Amino acid sequence: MANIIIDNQQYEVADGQNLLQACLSLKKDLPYFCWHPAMGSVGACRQCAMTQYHDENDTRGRLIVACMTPVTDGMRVSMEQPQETEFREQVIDALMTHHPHDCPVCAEGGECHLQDMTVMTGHYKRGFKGKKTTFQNQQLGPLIKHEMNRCITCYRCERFYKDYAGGTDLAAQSSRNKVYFGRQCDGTLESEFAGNLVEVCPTGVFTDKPFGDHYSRKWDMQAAPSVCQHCSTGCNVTLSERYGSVRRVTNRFNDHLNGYFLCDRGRFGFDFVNSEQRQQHISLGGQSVNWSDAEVQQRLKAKGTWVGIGSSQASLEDNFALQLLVGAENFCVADDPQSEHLLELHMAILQQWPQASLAQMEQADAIVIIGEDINNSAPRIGLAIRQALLNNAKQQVKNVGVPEWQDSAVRQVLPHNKVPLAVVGYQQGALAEQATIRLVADDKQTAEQAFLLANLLCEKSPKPRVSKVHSQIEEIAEVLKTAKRPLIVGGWSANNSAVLSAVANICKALANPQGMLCIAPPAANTVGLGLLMQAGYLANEAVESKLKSEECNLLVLDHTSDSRQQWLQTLSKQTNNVVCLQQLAQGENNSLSLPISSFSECSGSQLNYQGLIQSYSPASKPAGQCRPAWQWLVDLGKLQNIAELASVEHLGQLHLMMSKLFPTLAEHFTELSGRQFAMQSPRYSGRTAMLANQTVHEPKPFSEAGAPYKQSMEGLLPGQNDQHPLAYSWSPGWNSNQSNHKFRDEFRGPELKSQQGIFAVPNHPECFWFKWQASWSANTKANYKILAVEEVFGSDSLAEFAGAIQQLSKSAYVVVLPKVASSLNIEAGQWVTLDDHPTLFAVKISDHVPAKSILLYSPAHEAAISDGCDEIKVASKQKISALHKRQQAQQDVQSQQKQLHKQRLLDQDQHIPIQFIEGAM
Amino acid sequence: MSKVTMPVEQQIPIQQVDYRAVLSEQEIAAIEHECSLYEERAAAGIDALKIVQDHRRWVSDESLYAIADLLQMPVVQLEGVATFYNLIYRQPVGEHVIHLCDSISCWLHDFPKIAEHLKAKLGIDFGQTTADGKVTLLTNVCLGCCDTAPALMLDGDLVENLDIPSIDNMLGKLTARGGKND
Ligand code: SF4
Ligand code: SF4
Ligand code: FES
Ligand code: FES
Repeated sequence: MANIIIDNQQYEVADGQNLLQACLSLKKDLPYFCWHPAMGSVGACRQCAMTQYHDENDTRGRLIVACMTPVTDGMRVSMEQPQETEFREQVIDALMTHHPHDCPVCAEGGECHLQDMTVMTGHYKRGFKGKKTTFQNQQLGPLIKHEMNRCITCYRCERFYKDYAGGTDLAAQSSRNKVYFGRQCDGTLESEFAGNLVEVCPTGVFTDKPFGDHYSRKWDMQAAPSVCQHCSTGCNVTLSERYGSVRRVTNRFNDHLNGYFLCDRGRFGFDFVNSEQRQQHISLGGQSVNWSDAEVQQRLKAKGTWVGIGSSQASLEDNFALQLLVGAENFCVADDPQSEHLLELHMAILQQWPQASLAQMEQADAIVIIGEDINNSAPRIGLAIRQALLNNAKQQVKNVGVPEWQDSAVRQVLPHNKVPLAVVGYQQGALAEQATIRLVADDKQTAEQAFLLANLLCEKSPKPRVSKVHSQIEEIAEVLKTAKRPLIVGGWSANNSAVLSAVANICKALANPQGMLCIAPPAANTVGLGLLMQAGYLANEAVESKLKSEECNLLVLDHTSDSRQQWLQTLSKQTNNVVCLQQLAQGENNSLSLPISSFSECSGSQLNYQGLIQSYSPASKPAGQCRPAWQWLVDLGKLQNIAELASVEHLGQLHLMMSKLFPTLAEHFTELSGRQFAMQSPRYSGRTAMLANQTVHEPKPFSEAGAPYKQSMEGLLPGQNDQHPLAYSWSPGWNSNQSNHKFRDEFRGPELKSQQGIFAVPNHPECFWFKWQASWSANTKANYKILAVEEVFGSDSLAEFAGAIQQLSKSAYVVVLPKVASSLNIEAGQWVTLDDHPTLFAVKISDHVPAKSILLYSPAHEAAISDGCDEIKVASKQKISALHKRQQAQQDVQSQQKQLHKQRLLDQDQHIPIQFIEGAM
Repeated sequence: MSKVTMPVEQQIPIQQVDYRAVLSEQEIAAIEHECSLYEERAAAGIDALKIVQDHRRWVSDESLYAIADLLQMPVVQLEGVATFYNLIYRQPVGEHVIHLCDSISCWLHDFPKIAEHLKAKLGIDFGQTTADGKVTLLTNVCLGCCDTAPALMLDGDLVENLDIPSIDNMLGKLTARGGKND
């Protein structure tokens, strides 16, 4: 601790931070621009100026910038004397010489850090008499809008994009009063983290494009704390709603998971909730029907066994209700035997090894990634790993007395102080390119070498069939032996149980209590299904035979993946009664489908890759006949006389029942006592008038029984109760997301605080070795082994229903070795076919492809391909021109749909059907 | 800095340029030599730009992409370097380039008059090139010879103590001799 004197007041603050952090931690209003809690200081903007005094007799002092000045015991500074306040006002004047003062038409207005700081410094009169520079803006793709004139040259964008996230296509250009932040020429920003620019830029240079198309001011939006649905990280997000539709997703700070940043799949993928394809009515074979219709009732009450298929895209509550309804013995958790096996294995590992949080991973001093494409399967985790790569450089500057938040110092010494990053497997992309040790191997070799690695670390660890250890593996073993906080990363990308087992063995062999593990499952609630699995389940392989042998009905919880659709098609041949609980209508068939609420319209919980339970709250009301799946299931329970389920009236009761089965959950589901949080800000406009074209009565605010949030402006404000997540972040004078520091300490201190929350999967400290299984040694007989790779945009079937994400999705491609390409006489960019599969693949060539293999990416909505192929052929001219035609048509449809979508949302704003407003008439 | 303003869909971006197809062997050898003097290839960026400019008078988009390819660095980063320095020309310039100093000492010593005269004589404004492609007129910040102000830089050489006759004299000689890069 250090004692410092600010404006003649004594304060005790934590050591190791800078003066700006200390002032903000004391909740003082010190203006700043370029400093960012996650990116450190560079002292670019001079906005945080203060005066430092030699001692109590020094009356003049000297100007310092707080963000570059470490706190020291006994330091004497002032923040409110004319000298520094006038200087800070002038800084704004200077930074704003080109600013067009166009707040009324700027999407940042009302939550703009520049507005806040301008008011805070008291700047109100333009001093600069010269002309403003007018810049040309760039087209940066479907996600980000560029309006360069608003720039105040704080360099945050470049520092985030290039330094923090490793992007290579955005940088500062030019000099003097012409400094420009953008790409070399127009084009879509390549980084999957580009969306963070919206929040990182303190002004309106980079704004959210889809949000701009259907815009509302921050103060006019109802906000709900939510959890991202697009991978297993479980990033915390805020959903904002106006006139019944969700407008955007923004980051919701979570110290241990997403911190300040999201990936673009999460930020823009949410739009599936507004998709044209949302199902809003009960339908039978594609026709709208009613609940009370005889045929519907007959279907719902049908005799025979009900087999339920759970979904990793649905909440824990929905899956639990389904399990209750059909009985654990009839509840299937996976779409194919392999996934089921992986899930079993994953849960066994999860019980033995706690999973590191992202903040913990950022502290690793050696990283080994085994067969996981973490960049694409859980992008935010990839970003966290990237930060760990700085640790040796940070240590190095600390050794010479420079604090680690001195970002440019750290980056200066980085090239000579790399953190070892080992990548074993066939994953491509930015992280793999950073590897200091890289072993390119197919999934089987990856598993073998990982088993051998575990064996090198501990002789007791079982060996695979092969015994040849690659030199890279020996190197990794040495690195791991000396590392203090090694991190092992694995996951489902390789779709291979041996890889998962190997990762667990490495952890056991390491026997380092500080060691960390991260295994990434494929979907937002995969681990939730794994938890329910513990209560019993119906094996995937048994489903079909069961349907064949008995009179069965199928009850399916929505999942948008292609493999699920295909499996359902097979199954529906065996039974006449398929009932789907669906949020997105996919394909026509003879099933009865009940429309369910999306995550933005109801409460629910999910388990992230750590087994951490997190809940989301509704930002809007369900449209049409949509209801939460568990409510439909309760009604089904009533029809089918399932007493336990039929008695459930609200979510709290379901939570109680879940807690009985899984006692760890009880603590998470504690009911709210006291007042609810207001989801609307006190400045929410038009509360009584916005629906006046339909009713003169002010509708009663909607809220779920027992929920801590209320869709109203009446209730607790941010900061008035810290037991529950903030609905939105706002504090007087701090309208932007920078208000975060008013609610939590943004200085982490030397020790990371432990992660809050309930880890639902109980820990079994006793752990065992996974043995090499004979079946793992089998190899494909095909000429080329196909190794599937993922893409941030395109591999998540749910996000594909969001227009902006769809626009970014790549078409199918294969990656081949240069020697394969030359032997087949194919070039990069050419189209090829594999065996007689109808899809055309674009060719990429890379050295980092395992021998006798090809890497293959195919979009989530295209049929998957088996694991081997014999022949790669250049596609015929007809096929290519047909493809081009299809792509062109697709693009036309997409841009048409985009227009229609926009129009539909705008129309909808004015016509919220009254019957859906609770309490109206 | 030239910015393309066409909508993304219509634009034909310069994707990847193979440096061997653009740069001469001489240029490549000179740049490789610079690379050998630094720890990282990207550090030779400024030298590479200068080398190419020496050969071609200015750095076109194509040259920029080729240098980035040769140095294995992101093109936007190289563009950042190229546009930071006012002596790297990202637009075509004439055979001769005049940088007239417009900083404080020169300003006090008749900058406006000299500027007007230069502009009138050449028939162009700052930032332009004469129609015959002979001379480009630009400004510059303090050239470091305030004691001999007003001053300008002609093709990299200082011309000090400017007055109307000396400018006329200089321009006369320019039309007489060929360009620096010829
Ligand atoms: S664009 Fe935004 S983030 Fe980048 S320098 Fe300008 S104001 Fe800062
Ligand atoms: S990393 Fe995963 S959870 Fe986080 S925002 Fe991206 S898709 Fe969502
Ligand atoms: S915030 Fe301190 S100089 Fe920019
Ligand atoms: S001001 Fe012109 S040389 Fe210094």
